[in-house]
Amino acid sequence: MAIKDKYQDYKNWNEKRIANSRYKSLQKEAYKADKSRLKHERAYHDSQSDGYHGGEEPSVSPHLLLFFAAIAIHIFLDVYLFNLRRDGGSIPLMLGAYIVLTLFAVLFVYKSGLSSETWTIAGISLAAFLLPFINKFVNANWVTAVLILVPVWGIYLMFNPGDSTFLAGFGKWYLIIVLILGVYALLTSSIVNSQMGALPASAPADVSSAVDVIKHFFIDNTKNLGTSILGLPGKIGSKINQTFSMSYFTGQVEQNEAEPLGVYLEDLRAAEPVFYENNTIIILANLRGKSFEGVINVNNYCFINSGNKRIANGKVIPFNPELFYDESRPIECVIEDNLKKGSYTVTLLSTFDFPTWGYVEYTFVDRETRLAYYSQGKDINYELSIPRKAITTYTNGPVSIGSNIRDLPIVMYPDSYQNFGVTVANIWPQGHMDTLKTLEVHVPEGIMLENCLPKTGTTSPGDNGYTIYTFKLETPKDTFSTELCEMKFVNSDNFLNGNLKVTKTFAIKADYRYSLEKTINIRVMDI
Amino acid sequence: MNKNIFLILLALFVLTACGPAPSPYSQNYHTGTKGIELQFVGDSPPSEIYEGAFFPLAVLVTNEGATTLDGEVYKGEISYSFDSFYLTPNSPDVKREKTKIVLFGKSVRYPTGDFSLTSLPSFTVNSILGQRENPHTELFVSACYPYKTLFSDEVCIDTTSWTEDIRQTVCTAYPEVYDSQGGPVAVTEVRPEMHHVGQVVRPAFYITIENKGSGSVLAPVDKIENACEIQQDSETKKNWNRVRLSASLSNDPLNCVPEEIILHDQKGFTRCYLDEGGYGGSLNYLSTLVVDLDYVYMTSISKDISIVRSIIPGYGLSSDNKCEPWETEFNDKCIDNCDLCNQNSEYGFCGSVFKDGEYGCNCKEDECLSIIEGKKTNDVTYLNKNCIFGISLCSEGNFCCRKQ
Repeated sequence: MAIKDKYQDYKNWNEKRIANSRYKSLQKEAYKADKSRLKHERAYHDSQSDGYHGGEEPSVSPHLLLFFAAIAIHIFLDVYLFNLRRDGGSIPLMLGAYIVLTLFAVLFVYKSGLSSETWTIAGISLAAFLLPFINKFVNANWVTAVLILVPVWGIYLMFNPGDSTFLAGFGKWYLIIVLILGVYALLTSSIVNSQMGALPASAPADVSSAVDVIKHFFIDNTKNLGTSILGLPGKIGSKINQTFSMSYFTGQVEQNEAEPLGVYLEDLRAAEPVFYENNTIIILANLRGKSFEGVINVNNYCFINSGNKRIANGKVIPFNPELFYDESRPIECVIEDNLKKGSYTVTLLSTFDFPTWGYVEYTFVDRETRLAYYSQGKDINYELSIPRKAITTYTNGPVSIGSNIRDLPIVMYPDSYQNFGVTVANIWPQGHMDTLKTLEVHVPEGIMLENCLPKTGTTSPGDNGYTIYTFKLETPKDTFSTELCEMKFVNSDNFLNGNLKVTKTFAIKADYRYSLEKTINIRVMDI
Repeated sequence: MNKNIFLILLALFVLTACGPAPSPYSQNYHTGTKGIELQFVGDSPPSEIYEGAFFPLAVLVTNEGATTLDGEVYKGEISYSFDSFYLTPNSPDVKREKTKIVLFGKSVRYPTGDFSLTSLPSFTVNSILGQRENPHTELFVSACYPYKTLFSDEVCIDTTSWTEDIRQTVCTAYPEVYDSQGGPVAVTEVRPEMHHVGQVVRPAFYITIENKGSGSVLAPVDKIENACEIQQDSETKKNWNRVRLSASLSNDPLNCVPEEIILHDQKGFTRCYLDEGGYGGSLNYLSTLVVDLDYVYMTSISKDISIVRSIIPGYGLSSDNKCEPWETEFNDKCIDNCDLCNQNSEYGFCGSVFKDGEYGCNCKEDECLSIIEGKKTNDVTYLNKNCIFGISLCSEGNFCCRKQ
C-alpha cells in the first residue's frame, strides 16, 4: 500500500476515534442532565403533593437505605437468628432475603436494568450468601468473628457510597478501625501466647463464641498482656539469674518419619454448639500417644476456671487410659456442676510420665595423632571420617535435652578433663513439667564423671560396660535445669586401645511427669 | 578423487594403529599411585539393618602397588573400630584383634596386583536403648602396611659446562618430572646439579617426593617386621609423616640430606650428592639413578549403618512409675495427689481451691455428697470448696476434702 494511502487510512481511523470519544462524553453529559432534571422534577412534585417547599433533596439517600437493609439482614437474620449457618431452613430464608435485597438494589437504588451493574449487585449478594460456608472448612471462632465484623454488602457500600456523604465518611473510619483492631488482636495474641500459653482451641462455628473471641482478643488479652508485661522483669530476672549461675546447653530434635513421640490432645470440641443451664457439659477430644518404650499412663482432668479461680470440676472418661506404642483414644469430659448462663473456658489437662532421651557421640583421638595430621596439612575430620561437631540429638516430646556442642575430635590430653553438661528444658508452650523425676547419664566404658554440680549422682552398672549416673535435679518449671560434671578417662593410656580414633555414644534420659493443657470456649444459655 | 584420498588415509590410520604386542617382560609394573586398597564387599556391612540382627564384615583388600607384602618381613595389618553402644562383635576378645595382610605386588605373575577377601568378625546390632527411632553408627576399617617405592631412571652426567666441548652431546642434564612408581609415595621431580671438583664432576640431585595416595604416611621404622605395632606408640607418632630415602648413581651410594624426609603439604625434598670421587672425561653420558623410598602407610574406609527399630515395645510402662494413678512420686515416695496439692498447689490438676486450707483424703462419698447438698446452687461458683468431687485425687472410695 502506498504511503499516502496508509496515511489516509490512519487519518480516517483517528478521526473516527476522536468522534466516538466526543459522542460518549456528550452522552454522559446528557445522562447527568437528565438525572438532575428528574431529581428536580421529583422534588417539585413532592413539594406540590405534601406541602413541602424548597425543593430540597430527600433526607435519606437510597444507598444509605440499602446499607441499613443489608446490615439488618446480616445482623438480625444471618448472625443472630441463624448464627451464620447454612444448613436446613436457613438456606432458603437467607437466599430469599438476599434475592429481595438484590431486587431492591437493582430496581430502586441503582436502577441498573440489565446492565453490567446488575451483575455486580447479584455477585455481591451471592458472595454474602456463600461466604458463611467457609465455616464448614475452617472451623475457627476468629473466622466467624471476621465474618461478623466485615459484612460483604456493608463493605461494598462503604466503598461505593453513591450520594450518601454519611456512608462515605462512616465507611472510611469503620474500615480503618477494624484494620487496627485486627492487627492489635493478632499482636496481643501472639505475645500473650508466648507468655501465657495456648489460645482457646477451635470450636464449631458459633456466633456467641465468636463474640466471646472478640471480647477475649480485645479485653482479656489486653488484661493478660498487661499482667505478662508487668511480670516480664521478674521472669527475665530469674532467667538471667539462672543463666549466669547455670550453663545452658542445646541440642537438636530427632526428625521422626511417622508421628512424633509424646502425648497429644487433639480435636477438642464441644458435644453441642451451645449448652443450657442445669444441663451436663460434655467436651470431646482425642488423646494420642506414641512411645517406643512401652505403655504411657495418662491421667486426665477437666475443669473450668474463671481467671485464677476454679469454678467447676469435671471428670474425664476414661480417667486413666493407657496408650500403647502408637495409639489414639477418644476421651470425654463431663461437667455436671450447674453452670449459670454465660461464657466459660473449659480446660482439659492430661498428666503423664514420659521419658525423653538425648544422644551425643564423641570421637576421641590422642594428641600425637592430631598433631601428625596437622603437620601433614591434612584434615583429620576428612581423613578419619569424623563429624565436625558433636551435637546432642534428643527424641521428640515436650522436653528438650542438650549437651555441650563440641568441635570434634576431642583430643585427649593427659591429666586433664573435659566438661560434660546436660540441660533439660520444657519446650511445649501448652504444658509444663510437674516433676523431673530423674536424669540419667549413660557413660561409656573408660570414662567417668566427677565433681558434678549442682547435684552429685549415684552410679549403677549398665549394659555393654556402661555406667549409669542418676541425678535428682530441681524441676524446671518455665526455665531449665543443668547438670555439669568433669569428664575424665579411667585410663587414658589404654583408652584408644591401639586405634587411631574411638567413638563413644553418651545417652541421657530425662524421666518426668508432664501436664498438657488445652482449652475450649463454651456458652451456656438459659432455658 | 576425494574417495581415493579418504581410502588412503584410512589405510594409513589402520596400519599405524597396529604395532607389536607388548611383552609382559617389557611392561613396567612400577606405575600407579596406589598401594593397599580397601573396599567393603556388598552388604557387609549393610547400609540398613534391624536392631538385634547380626551381619558379617568382609573387606576386599587389593595390593595395587609394586611392593609385595610377604607376611614375614613386610606385613600389613587391618584393624577396625566401632561404637559399642550400637554394635557388639560376636568374636570374643576382639578389642585388639588385627588381621594380617599378605599380598603380592604387581609383577609378571600378578599384572594388576593381588587381592584377597578378608573376613573380619561379625557384629550383632544392640537393641536400641531409649526412644530413638533411627540411629546411625559408623564402622571404620583401616590398613597399616610398610611399603617401598623404587625409582629408577637414566640421568645425564653433563660435563659440557666444564669441558666446553662444542660437539654434539649424548645428553643434557635438565630437571625431569615423574608421575608414579607403583606406590602411594612417589618421586615427582629430579633436578640434577653438576658440581666441578678439580677435574671431575660430582653430580648432585635435588629430589622431590610426594604423597600421591589417598592415605597417610606414618613413621618409618628400623624393624620392618613390627612396622605397624610401633605406630601406636606416642613417641613414634611424633615421627609420623616421614619417608626414608636412599639413592645410588651407577651403584655408587649417594649421600642424601635429609635421609628422613618430612612431608609438608604432602611434599618433601632432599638433596643427594656424591660424597667423593666424581666423573671425568670429555663426553656426557647416561647413568642410572636409583632412589628407594621406605615408609609405613595407612589407608582407611568407613561405612554408615542405619539401624531400624524392629522390636515392638512390651506392655511395661514407658516411664518408671511406682505410684498409683491418683498418686505422684514426691521425694521418692508415692503420695496422694490431694496431699501433694496441699503441699504444692502449683500442679496443673490442683487448682486454686487448695490455697485455702488443709485438705486430705478424709471423706467418703456420702460425706462429700452431704457437704455438697448443703451448698447453695444459685451461685455460678457452685463448687463446694470443702469437697473436691469428681476428680481422682485419692484412692477409690475416698475424696479430697476439708473437714470443718
